[in-house]
Amino acid sequence: MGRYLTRRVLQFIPVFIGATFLIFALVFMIPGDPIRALSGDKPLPQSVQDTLRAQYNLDKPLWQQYALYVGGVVQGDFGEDFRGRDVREIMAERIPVTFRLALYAFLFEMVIGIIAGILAGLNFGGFIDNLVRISTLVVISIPIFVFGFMAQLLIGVRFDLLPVSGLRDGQASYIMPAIVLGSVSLAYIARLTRTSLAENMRADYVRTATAKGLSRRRVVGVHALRNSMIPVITFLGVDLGALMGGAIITEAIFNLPGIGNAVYQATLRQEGTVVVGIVTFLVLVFMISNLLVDVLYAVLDPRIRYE
Amino acid sequence: MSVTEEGQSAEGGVFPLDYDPTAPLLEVEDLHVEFRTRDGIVKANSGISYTLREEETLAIVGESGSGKTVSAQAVMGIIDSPPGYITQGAARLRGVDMFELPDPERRAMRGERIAMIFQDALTALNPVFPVGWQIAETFRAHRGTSKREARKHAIELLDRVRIPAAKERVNAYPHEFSGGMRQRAMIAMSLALDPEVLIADEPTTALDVTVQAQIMNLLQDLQDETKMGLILITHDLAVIAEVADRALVMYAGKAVEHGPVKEIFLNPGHPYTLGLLQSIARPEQKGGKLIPIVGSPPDLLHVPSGCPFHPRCRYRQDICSEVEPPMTDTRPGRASACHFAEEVLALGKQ
Amino acid sequence: MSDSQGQGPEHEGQQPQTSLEVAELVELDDVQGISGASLWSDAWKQLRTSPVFLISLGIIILISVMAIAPGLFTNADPRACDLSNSLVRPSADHWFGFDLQGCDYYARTIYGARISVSIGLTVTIFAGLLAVVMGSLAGYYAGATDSVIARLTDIWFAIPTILGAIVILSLLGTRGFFQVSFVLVILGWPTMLRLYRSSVLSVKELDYIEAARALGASDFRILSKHILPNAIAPVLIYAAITVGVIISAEAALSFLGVGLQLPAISWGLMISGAQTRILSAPHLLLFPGLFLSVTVFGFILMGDSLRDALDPKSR
Repeated sequence: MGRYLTRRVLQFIPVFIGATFLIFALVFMIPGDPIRALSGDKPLPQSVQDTLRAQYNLDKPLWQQYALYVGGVVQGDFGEDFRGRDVREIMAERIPVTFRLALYAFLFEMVIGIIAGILAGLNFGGFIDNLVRISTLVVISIPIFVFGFMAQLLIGVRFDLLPVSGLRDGQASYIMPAIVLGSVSLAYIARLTRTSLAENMRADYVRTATAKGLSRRRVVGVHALRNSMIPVITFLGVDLGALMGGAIITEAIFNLPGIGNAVYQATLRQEGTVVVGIVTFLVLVFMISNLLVDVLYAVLDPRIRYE
Repeated sequence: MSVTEEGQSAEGGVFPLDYDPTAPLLEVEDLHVEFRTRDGIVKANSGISYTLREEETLAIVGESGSGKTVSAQAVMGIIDSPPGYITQGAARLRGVDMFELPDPERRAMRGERIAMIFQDALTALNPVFPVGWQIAETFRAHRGTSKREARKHAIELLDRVRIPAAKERVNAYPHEFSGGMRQRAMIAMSLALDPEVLIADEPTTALDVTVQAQIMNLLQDLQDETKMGLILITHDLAVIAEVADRALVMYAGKAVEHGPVKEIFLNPGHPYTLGLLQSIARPEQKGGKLIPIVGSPPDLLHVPSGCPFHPRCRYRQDICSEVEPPMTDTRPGRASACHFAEEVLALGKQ
Repeated sequence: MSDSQGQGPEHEGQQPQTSLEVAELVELDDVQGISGASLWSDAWKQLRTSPVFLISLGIIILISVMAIAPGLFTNADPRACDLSNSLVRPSADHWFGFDLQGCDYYARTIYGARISVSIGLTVTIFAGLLAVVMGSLAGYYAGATDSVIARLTDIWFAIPTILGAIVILSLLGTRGFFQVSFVLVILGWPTMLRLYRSSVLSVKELDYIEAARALGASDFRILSKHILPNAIAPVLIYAAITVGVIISAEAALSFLGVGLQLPAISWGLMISGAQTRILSAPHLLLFPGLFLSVTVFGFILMGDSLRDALDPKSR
């Protein structure tokens, strides 16, 4: 197991370098000069521009910039944005917001998704099954920003049930955004659970369990479910990270100061360090959750332990 | 007698009120099973009847699609319904018709009085639980045995089916066993509660020939020990010749012949059985040609009129496509469903 | 026993020597076999009668007609805008009202279909072609080729999709049809590749591939004539779904301001323009939102029904 993990970590290193370099290159390859753009209408004196450029390493070749950047990251230095704010500070401020949002969405999608999937899977071909199938498709089809606005309009404004904007109302502010953010994943989880369970219910070992005289509750709840959950849990394992990376639109609509929002603004302002810093963080989260899922998969499915 | 949620009684067994120790061990009468599909009704079993006695081995023979597995599943009560339905018939275990029992009692009988093993042990066992756990589960679920006790029983059973190092193996997963050992483990699981009837659905088809022999020997030895009745479902005539006392030949969901194995093999009473026997290679035929049965088994959605075998039968006459031959006694203990059974029997006398 | 056909049981000694002879003896007009049917003809039979498939097909055809010939649905010119009509509510003459610039919203919504459908189809087709070619190489040749391709796709997957799209698109000065399509192809292609590659891997092991190789078929021939038809099913299903996803993605990007630019008529842009006025002029959000949702729904539903028909496991 240890060897397997080491191999996976080693496999991820080129991916990490590749991904971060790619973003780095994209961000800093922009035609146009961020320093000039920063100063707006009143151009700064050339000497100041030069100093700024040197400070941000913008005068060096790309690969060198990247190497310097990674060197800094390894030491915990993510650089600063153009107003001199430490990127780490920005991240420390914003990551918890996005994390909370993602976590609530995650819990929501996991509980409701799995329950809906189980009900549908056991009812395969029946009314509840078709209901779940169609409603999940509808949810996936409605673009998240349309859904978000509708939710704001109806629940927040028309009926004034939940807060619609910002973080003023404490934890309650997260409820609607979490539901909106988690809705698409919920649909996927419900479908995955449904398919997995329906497939397993037709498996030979379920027939054996029934032939052994076990109660249906035990056959489904212990035997079938244990096998069915494997793909669902592996999906969930990666989804938390995916939610964090994909919250941009939700944060924009509901006005939440998270990393999605930060990246979006920073991209428009061409603030490379912020963008790269946050993307690096997200890539790390992606890698770690993938590793966790690999381990989890081996724990859940004894057949793949001997690799 | 109170029946708990898992169907167990205080004594640790299930004895429905009309349990009759003098009745035959298992009696299946006029079993009809149909599957209602989008394309029509598939008559998987039409009028299957047989009797099984203690210590007896009955072989149910037929090609794939003949309905032999369905008949066993019907008796066990594990047919998916929908789309399968038992439309007629009875299955009496010591006089008690299992089809008439309410669900909890029916379920209590499964595993306890009548058990089944399947062809592919790799898929028939749950891949994510250790083998010992799965065997112990039978005890825990039916008898409420403690985890420790149940585990002890599991080890004893693994020993009994001659799996070496049972104590260590009890924690192993199905995929960690070899094919033959897996099959033994499944046999162990089925015998956990000392059932009176064991149904083996193609237990050796997926195994090597040498392992086949071991498994069949094991089954016979266990049968001698427990005096249980064994129903062997197979298409392998050689295994039947070795092991079975009586045979029931099935074709297209219908029974075409039954009787003692020795007599049937030496002198078949139905053209289909004759065809089967002639199509296997035998040392006496060396240098000659194999004679297959022409054509292929019918689509069960459209079973041929009259005798289902008539399109492939080289002895057919007009009556064969018009009138379905009833199962008639031909000799003591034997019966055939063929208009010309006597003529077929006469062939063997030469 | 009567012998109307001149046949009867033979003596053991006069057994017919071959099965052919036996066949000649018996008129096998009644022999029934199991009718062979390929996966595709089976699937088509099932699809023809499936209400889900028919509904999704209907939606797709409707939207496609809207995209190809918007004139059939409206006479108004979506670009003929009159500020004096700004934000006028829907009425009997103008079903969807007017937007901020005073353009006929119904006309704009109808015309918006064109860009969505064309981006959806273009991106899916190109990503699909790329995925099939690269996936064939990765799956068939395995080894080093596969490792390299796998690592490359890993890099793609590590970067969150929307983020990547935003970053890349914000670099581009003009963002028209080609730029946006290009970016979406780049981002969407790895998933299709993964899918096709694993499909190829499993089909590769089948016996008749071995047979084809033994008969001397070239790699290209094997990949195109033998592997492709059998491995393509999951990709086709995913492609149908992808069209819907791409349409949604384009709208999302346009909404965020990094997708298409005015004067392009895109549902995403229209919704973007609506966001500051959801309360005062909800029709600005509702109509493009509805059309967008229904279009995406149509494609995803199609993918779903294809899956039911083509996936042998769900039969």
